[in-house]
Amino acid sequence: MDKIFPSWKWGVPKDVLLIHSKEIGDFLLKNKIQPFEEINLLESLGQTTAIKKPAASPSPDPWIQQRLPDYSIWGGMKIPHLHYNGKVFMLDEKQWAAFSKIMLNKIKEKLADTKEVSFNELMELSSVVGNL
Amino acid sequence: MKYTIFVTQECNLNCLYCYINKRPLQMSLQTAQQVIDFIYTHTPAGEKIEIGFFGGEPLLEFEFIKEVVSLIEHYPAYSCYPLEISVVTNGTIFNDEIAEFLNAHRIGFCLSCDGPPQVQDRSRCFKNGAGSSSIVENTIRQASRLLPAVLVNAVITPCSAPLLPQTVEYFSSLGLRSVYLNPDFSAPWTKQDAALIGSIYERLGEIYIDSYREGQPLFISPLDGKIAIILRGGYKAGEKCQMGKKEFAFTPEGNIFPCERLVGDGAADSPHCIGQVDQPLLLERMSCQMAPAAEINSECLSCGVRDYCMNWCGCSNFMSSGYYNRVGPFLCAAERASIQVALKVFQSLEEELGPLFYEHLSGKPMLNSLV
Repeated sequence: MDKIFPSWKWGVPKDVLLIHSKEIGDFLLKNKIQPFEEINLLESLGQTTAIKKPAASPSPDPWIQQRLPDYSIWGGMKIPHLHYNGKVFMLDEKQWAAFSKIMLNKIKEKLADTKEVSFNELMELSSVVGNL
Repeated sequence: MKYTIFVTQECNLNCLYCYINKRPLQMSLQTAQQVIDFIYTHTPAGEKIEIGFFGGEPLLEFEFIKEVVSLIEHYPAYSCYPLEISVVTNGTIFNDEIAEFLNAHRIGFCLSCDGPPQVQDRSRCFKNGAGSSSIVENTIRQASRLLPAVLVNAVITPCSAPLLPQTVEYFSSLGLRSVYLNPDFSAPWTKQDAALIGSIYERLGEIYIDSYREGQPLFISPLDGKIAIILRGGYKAGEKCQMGKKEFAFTPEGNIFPCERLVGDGAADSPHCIGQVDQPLLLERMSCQMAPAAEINSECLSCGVRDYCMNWCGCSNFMSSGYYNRVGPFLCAAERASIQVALKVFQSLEEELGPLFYEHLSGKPMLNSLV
């Protein structure tokens, strides 16, 4: 598997992709989650990188330990984690559930305010624009 | 940066909805070299280069593709960029030699197939009218055996939409796991179609959930992509359509278009053409395809899920409304449906099976599900 699309297995490990970085920062702070060191996936693109110990915390939870990334497969790290300020933060099952709940609640709120592009309106607009 | 190379505009199929006009044109090696020069000179240092071979049917020109790949790999700056190469084929041309070449050069393989024979043979026939389903099915089986991954892309039309669940089940029965479903936005979608798309996606959601329960997850683009976007809180600027900025398509004679779906006849006087590969880009031409009034689609500006919607897809908008920046009603309906079903699937699966979608968070939206 790792012989093809070598970069895919890294996913897009960039916290800059996340719109709600403030919420992520607050979440990490609130839950006192420490970053892992020795992870710079962008720089290690195409190389085998081992994840080492947490930067400033005790040994990871066994649940995490069992799910440390296997870079021989695609799709990013098979462990709940967040990218923030260029660092990687591992989450345990409860922390992931709490994080995903934040994001799910956000979209649920927004869904209540969904608008609709109507078929009738498009036809009217086409007519107006066509006469410009 | 995404670059699409039309090595030919010839095709052995005559698909009903094809947006590329067929012309007996093949790219020359000289033009290919100019395209590669363009690619390396227009890509910012260190940024990933994605190159797709497209057509027409690109594998009609397999020998030429081999030469172009060699040019790419021997370019002086080759090692300075992360690079992904892929080929998008109609699945009628495949053999061991092609597989060996794709594997040796790490070239991705994406096959276009609309579904089971009753769907495929209605829309994707040879020029003599004969259906392509049996040949394409053989290719799927052969490619699945010889390649590490086979991606399948199905075009959804108003006729085939109600059969999407059967289509996904068909692909699954052939061992395919990564299924991309793309509506043909140029089709005459109706209010009735829009009203039905939610229930069709709901059924896809059930198939998706079952596949997870069975331990053989299927990856279905409208759902996987939206799960990723839900987790991220919406599309970020860099993930949206960047046609004419970070996305270019090159015709066989070296004309440049902002997106492969807008190539049409590929001619230099096409309204979408933004230049030639050996000339400066004429990006101002793109403004001619913008809707003249900013308030068009005012619904989008106040829509709660606008950050989660692909209302930014220039080619989809053009095909459905005639403007790069005006959303069509079916795209709106399909996006709302996929967001709602993805949310439902996410909640349902994580409640039942625990954390599942963490790799979606940082994955590439359209490909994050590859495992």
